Amino acid sequence: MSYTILDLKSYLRYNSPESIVSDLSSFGPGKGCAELYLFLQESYDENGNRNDNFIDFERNNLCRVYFVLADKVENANGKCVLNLKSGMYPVYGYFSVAVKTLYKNNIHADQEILPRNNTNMYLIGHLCKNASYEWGKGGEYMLQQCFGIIESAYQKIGMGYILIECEPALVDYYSNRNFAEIGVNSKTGLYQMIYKVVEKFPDII
Amino acid sequence: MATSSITDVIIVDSEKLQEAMDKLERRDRSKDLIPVNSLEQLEAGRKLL
Repeated sequence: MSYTILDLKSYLRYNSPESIVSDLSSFGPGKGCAELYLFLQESYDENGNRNDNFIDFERNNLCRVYFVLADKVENANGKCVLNLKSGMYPVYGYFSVAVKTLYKNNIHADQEILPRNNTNMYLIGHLCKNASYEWGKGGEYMLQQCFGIIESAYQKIGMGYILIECEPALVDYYSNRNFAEIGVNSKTGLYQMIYKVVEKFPDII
Repeated sequence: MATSSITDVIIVDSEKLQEAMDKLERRDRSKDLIPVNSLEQLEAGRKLL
């Protein structure tokens, strides 16, 4: 089995924003499928406000979204596939990457807020493996794919850390993979963790 | 993870942040996840369009 990455930006260069939802078909019961569908289509909250979605983020250059696709299949078998001109490709997962400024909260009142008091990091806004498919170390594979994208940006523009916000149930998972906790988002309750960018080919000193 | 991570302002405790960075300097590097060559796979993905 081999995997391919398709970025939403390239998809939108050749296709209309509306077509991504119709091109995704045969949604399975997995949580990942439902979230992906929600993040791609136009939706509104209970107050009638339009929810942000991946299309908006791409248009506004707030992040980049990537789909991890497996080899082409002939039959979707009720699972999530992306229909491209050349055939159907199982969607094994997706992730989004952005750059985020972290504001530090212990700045003394008499200090100006200067750029040195903030820090920039890569943000993994979403990282989801498709629960419709069975694959052993799918989560780690998704992380490695995501790190591959980030590492290529790191080589070109710098910034040494990656931020994620995750549910409490996933803190141990990420801790065991060298993420370190830095706090809890008071608005969402999500745990904030950072990871030091690892180079594919570290310099030998 | 949530969509709000991308749009919301994120405020962190600078001491906790520094502690975490120091911890990562002392990490067990055998647990690092080595990035894969995503750019090659990205190029392959674009050819599907």
